Amino acid sequence: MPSWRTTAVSEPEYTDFRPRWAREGLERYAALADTPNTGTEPDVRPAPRLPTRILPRDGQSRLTAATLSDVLSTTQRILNFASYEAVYGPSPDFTDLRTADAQVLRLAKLSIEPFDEGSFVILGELAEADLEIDSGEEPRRVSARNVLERFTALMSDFSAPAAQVRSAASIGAIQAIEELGKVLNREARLIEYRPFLPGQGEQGPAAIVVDRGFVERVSAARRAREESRESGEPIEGTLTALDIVRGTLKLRIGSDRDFVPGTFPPLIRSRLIPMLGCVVRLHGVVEYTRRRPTHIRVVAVEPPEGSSG
Amino acid sequence: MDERDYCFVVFEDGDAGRSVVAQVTRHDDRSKRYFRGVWHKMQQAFTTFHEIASVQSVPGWAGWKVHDWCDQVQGCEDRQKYVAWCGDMMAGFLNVRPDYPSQHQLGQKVMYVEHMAAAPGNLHTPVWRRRVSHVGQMLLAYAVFQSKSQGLGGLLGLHAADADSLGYYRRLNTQRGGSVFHPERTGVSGPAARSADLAKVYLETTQPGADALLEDYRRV
Repeated sequence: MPSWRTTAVSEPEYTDFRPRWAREGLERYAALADTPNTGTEPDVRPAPRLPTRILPRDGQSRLTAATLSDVLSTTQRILNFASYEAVYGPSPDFTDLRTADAQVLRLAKLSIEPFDEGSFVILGELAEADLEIDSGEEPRRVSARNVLERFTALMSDFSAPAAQVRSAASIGAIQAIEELGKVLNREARLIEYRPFLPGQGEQGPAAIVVDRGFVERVSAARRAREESRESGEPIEGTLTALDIVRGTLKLRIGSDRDFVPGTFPPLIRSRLIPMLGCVVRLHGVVEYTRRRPTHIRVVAVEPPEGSSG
Repeated sequence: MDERDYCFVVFEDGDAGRSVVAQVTRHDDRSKRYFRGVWHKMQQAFTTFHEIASVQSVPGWAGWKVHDWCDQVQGCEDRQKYVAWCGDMMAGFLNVRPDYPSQHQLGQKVMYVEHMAAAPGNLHTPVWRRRVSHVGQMLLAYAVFQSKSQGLGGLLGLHAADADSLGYYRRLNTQRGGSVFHPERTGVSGPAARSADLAKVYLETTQPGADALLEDYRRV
């Protein structure tokens, strides 16, 4: 008789033996036929995860190895910049990862899990141990979670409409993100990152969709960075907002509605915190557009002359 | 103790209910591949079915990441992992930890049943029919065998994972005249000292109850 089987599997071994309880028939024990799970789920510390989905163009069901390779290597490169920024704070001029400490790059290491067949979902996690930073200030601990948070923040900056894009990301990170455009030009319709931060459940970060519009906003931000005029002159104003996690601030100059956004390194964070709400003089690189300051990358802070602050 | 004195079997589902021999082996690369490639995929299919059917509550077993945590080592170095096979089909798995202090007999150690489950294909669901039944009784009997073999007198301790699991053990106890378990207790911490265990019902076999669970499978 022909078999319906197409794969060779071992047949179960049948026996006439029946356990004592079953000798009077199984019906009496029907309530025990299904076995529920017993026990407690182990506490496996979940690592931050970054699944990446690639959607091929025109409903294609395959991608070239070059595209797959580019997505992985570029994603790793963006994560390296994110790790650098998570450790040292946003540094808009930073481009050369060769100067980054090996430990900082270790924290960004993306491990790829076995592929799910039938899709271009690349399951990845950042499972490296925390990094202790002894920067001379108070010692800090930076985790892979911080790296993924920074990745999410710097990618999310470009999810906004073009006119609102104001990224503090390093120019190296911006260039790396822009490289994803190569994959879109070649054969992918979009690339989707779905960051997962353990413990946040459905409240976690939204998916980041990289499509042509996204890459155009990144390119525009890079051009604006290159075209803006920069000055080393300090500027004065009232420090109205500080985000000590992201390393960003707002300075009010002139009228109540005249704000200059900026970034600062972690090293001067403790100097800035007590000055919140005060008039300060910020030193660093100031970008101007039509003579108006549009951004400052702060390197030092002091109370203005004549202030007792 | 000689394993050949016993015949651990489950039953083909259906009217005939033929006995199928379950070969219990240690967790290995083959079972790891099965957990990831078959067990987990069936859980995903089951969960997706619920999503498509707009059924909000998915049974707890669908969320167990067996494929992830069967490889866990840190903090549970003494965990013994067993897998029951019917030919190339997995019947279920059993994780036990020896030398857990008895909650009913001072100075006595028992075998703690940390995890036990039938493979998804051996549960009735709206998506598929059960292949084999009574996997749990067979695995419990095997746990008693290991407890005896390792000098723990055949005694078992366990926490019921949820209401379904507790109902199962209560039915088992009732079917056997209430002699399988000591009275239920809560506030008992398992070997991993997880706070979640304190709220769960802890069950421990009596000596006659454990003996009967195993001896039912003795070859005649």
